[in-house]
Amino acid sequence: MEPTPPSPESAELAALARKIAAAEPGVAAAEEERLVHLLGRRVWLYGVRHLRDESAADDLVQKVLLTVLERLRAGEVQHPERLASFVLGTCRNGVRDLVRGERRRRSLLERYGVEPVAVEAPAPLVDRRLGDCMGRLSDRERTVVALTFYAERGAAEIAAELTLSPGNVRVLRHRALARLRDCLDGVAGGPG
Amino acid sequence: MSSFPPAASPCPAAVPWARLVDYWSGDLETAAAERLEEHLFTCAACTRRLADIHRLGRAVGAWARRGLRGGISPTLLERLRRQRLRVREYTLEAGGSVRCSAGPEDDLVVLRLGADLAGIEHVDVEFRYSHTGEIERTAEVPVIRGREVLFAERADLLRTLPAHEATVRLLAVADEGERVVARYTLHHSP
Repeated sequence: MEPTPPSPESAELAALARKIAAAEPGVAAAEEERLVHLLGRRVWLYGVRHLRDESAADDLVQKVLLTVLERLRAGEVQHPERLASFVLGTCRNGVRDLVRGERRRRSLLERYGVEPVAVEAPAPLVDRRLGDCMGRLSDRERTVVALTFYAERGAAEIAAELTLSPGNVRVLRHRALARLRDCLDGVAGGPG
Repeated sequence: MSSFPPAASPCPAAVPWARLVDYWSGDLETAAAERLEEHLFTCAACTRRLADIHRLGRAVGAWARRGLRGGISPTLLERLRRQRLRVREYTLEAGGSVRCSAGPEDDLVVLRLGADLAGIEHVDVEFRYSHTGEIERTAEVPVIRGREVLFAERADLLRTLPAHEATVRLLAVADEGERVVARYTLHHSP
């Protein structure tokens, strides 16, 4: 079986990794900046998905990209063509460390009877268009979408509360989000 | 945080939108989620679409805190309370009535309407107002665990209403017609 050719992105990441590894300290600043530009957002989204907290995701980005750059500079990344996998593995370790650290922090707070301070991230401006588009969903669709993104519940938990099957919840959710997306694109006059 | 780099070209093996939503919501099995992540880390186009889902989700979260009304669930109610919204609740069983109002400090007023709703996934909720004769109907309000419907209204809107009586009906709608599952009476005072 023919091996799958690398994607253009993988090829670019590999080229950047080799240049950074081969360069004298401080010489590959442009390549390092490009690497951060290509990977930073991906690491951040990974962090939000797994940590459910944007400021924790910011911490993850700092931690992961620093580790990756240090390892590249030290010539310790054995397979530059698999840099994306290396970064992903570093993300997984980073999340584990952050979660462990957070558990230890909470345990200490509990031991000393200190309530953890919950700082809500500043809410994005609520677009009136979104309000209009949410209004076009059925009550059931709105509830499923709100439970997914506001209460951060998975399909199984939503199903148990709304007396639906998890499959039904997913179908409702997909349909509602697709309608929201199309409504927002249509109202904005952008491409559908 | 750097801006997202533009995708050079669409992904030839684009991840379906529904699958990205399932991944983001934590509803993919671990192995499938990890395979998807391997793809995302080499694909700007699919990652951009995931970023769109995240942005949409954030906006929905912000909307929910300010604009949630109509059918609601206990989980959403609890979440609103944790965000310091002041919620006034009225609990009624089928056939019941209550004197109700919206206090000056309230953000949301919630009716908990109990009834025998076993086997019913959703109902239409109908309000008939004595002071205007108007009828307002909200379709497909989810039933909670087969035994109640929660219905929310913004307190600032309720505070503008004069004293009146409202009859609330829960209607199960099917192909063969609709039937009244339960009735309630609200005696609203400003």
